Amino acid sequence: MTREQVERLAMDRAAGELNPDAEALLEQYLATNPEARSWADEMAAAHTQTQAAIAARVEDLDTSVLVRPVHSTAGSDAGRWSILGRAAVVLFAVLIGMGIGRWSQPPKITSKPTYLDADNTPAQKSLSVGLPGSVGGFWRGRALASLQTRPYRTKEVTRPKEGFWGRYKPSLKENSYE
Amino acid sequence: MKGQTKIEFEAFRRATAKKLRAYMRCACNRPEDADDLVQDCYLRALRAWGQFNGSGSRQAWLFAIARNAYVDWLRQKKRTGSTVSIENVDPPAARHEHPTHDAENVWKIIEGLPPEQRDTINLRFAAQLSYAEIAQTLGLPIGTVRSRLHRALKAVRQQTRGREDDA
Repeated sequence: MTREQVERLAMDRAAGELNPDAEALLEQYLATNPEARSWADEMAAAHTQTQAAIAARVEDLDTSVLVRPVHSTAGSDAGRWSILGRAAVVLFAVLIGMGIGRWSQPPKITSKPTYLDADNTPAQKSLSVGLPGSVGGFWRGRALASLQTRPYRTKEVTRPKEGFWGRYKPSLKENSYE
Repeated sequence: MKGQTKIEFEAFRRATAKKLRAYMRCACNRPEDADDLVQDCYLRALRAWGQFNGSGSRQAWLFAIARNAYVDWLRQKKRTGSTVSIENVDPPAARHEHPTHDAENVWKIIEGLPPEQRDTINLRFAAQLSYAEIAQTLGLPIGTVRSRLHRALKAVRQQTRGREDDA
């Protein structure tokens, strides 16, 4: 048998892993081989020393207390971070919601739309110069409207309403331009 | 949790608490970390209680969970940088001094072993698992377990004998 084989068997015997038959054969071999006996004894000694070192390390364990307060750094960290994480998620959601709300609102018209006075715009004046006085009423108002830039406002004319009657009502009111 | 399962788990926990705590105590430097890992391990075992298919030892199954918990803890510590991995520790007693074969110095020799050998030592001597249970825990053949254990004990013997020769 090689030294490694002897040492492994000695280790198995010290660990209680050797069956009785194999242990008897090993002992028989070691009895007739002093050198192998020294190898086996060294391995057994190492096994004993290791066992003693481990036992010394764990001998002060208080095994009577099976349930201890959770002082887990990993656990407390996980708990703390989960609360912070949740708060961060909520805050982020609120900010996102506020941003979406502001973004979805129609733009406010801060400045008043500029209106052109139908009677005093330059185009109207030039047109009033070009048009004979007899041209008035309906056609004069329509001509002025086509020359003016939107939005425009005429005197006494309200913004036309939508719908069927809303389209024809301005034509009725334009008679008052004169 | 069903009543019968709870009773079984409690009985199992009482039977394995000492071994599991010893294993974690040898794996971690600080007792507080070891206790935290023990609780974490039992929580994991409780969640996975119904997943054990009955093949092999339930104790070995528990220590497989324990090893995973320990590895996760090491990874987390590495990420946060709050501790140095045991794998990177160079214990001076094992490398630069010639320790005697008293328990404290032998422990330092064990700490200087490669991680796979140190883990096998802890499972064998602290957790008191059999070769078959260690093989099941590590997912290795029994022959590999014997080889690792043999190399570890040989290193212990050589380093302690070096001191004796110097003395």
